[in-house]
Amino acid sequence: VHPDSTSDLAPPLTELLADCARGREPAFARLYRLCSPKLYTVALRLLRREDLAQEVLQESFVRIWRHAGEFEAHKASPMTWMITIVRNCALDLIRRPRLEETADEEMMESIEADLPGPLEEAIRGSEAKALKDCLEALDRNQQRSILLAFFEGLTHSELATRLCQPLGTVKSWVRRGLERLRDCLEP
Amino acid sequence: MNYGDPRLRAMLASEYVLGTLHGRARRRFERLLGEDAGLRVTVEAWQNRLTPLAEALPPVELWVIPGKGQAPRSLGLLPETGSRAVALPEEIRRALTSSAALAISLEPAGGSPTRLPIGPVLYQGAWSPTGAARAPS
Repeated sequence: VHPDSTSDLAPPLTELLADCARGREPAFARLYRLCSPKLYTVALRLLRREDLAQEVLQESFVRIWRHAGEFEAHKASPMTWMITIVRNCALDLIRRPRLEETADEEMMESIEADLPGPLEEAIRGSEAKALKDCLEALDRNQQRSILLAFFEGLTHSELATRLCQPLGTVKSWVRRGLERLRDCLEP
Repeated sequence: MNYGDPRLRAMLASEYVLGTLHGRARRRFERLLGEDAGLRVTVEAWQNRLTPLAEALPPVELWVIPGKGQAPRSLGLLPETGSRAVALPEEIRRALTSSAALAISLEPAGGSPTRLPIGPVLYQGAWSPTGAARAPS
């Protein structure tokens, strides 16, 4: 569901951000209602912990309120700008130790075995056709590395462990993958 | 590091946005961003390239697995923000065992069209009853 579709009467996000910059609290409340579902999902996907995702969401909205005046509509969409704030906030937190996996691993694996992989799922729903096409044009290893890093916030060494590859190999997959992505998106 | 090298700058900007630039290197890069308008433009271009992926993320749904080997039961889509008390249907409550678990999955808007999660499981944890959880809601 697109955030703007929650209410037909909702002013555009750009306008809400401009009102936030003028210190108008009702605009902020409205922005929160409209955007927090999406932003929460972004944080939860990276952090995989509800409490941390909530913490990041609150901190992000504090930053959004304080920095609304710095938003420039010609540079990014309002949603891109806010997602960037959430991601930066979450990436700062993510380096702390993660929650122990407490559930029965075997049981969870049996559930996960029937599901489409997170990467396929991630691209499937994407409205960003050009990005999707360019990701699909990458080598499988480059694509996996980039998506794992983006969605799970893995470092190079975490990627190396996850993919059972030497650090240098993984680094070059990420680097070359990003270069190819850029060239593909800007022919 | 020589931050003047254009290839290095391009690489750091892309890995900063991707998230692989971390720890001290990330903070150093952020300080540099504050002083370097050209670098900010490069970073913004990467944000515009990669962020559409995050925008496409589907919503999350809460599931309870009453016990080992049992099928997950949906407790509904998670609220956008804040906390939400979820009333546990009596039939699920009766089925709960000591190995019960909770899981959160990504699902299509509106929730899973089937009675089972179809999206990837994001988070999982053991079910731990507390006074509040047992109290009638």
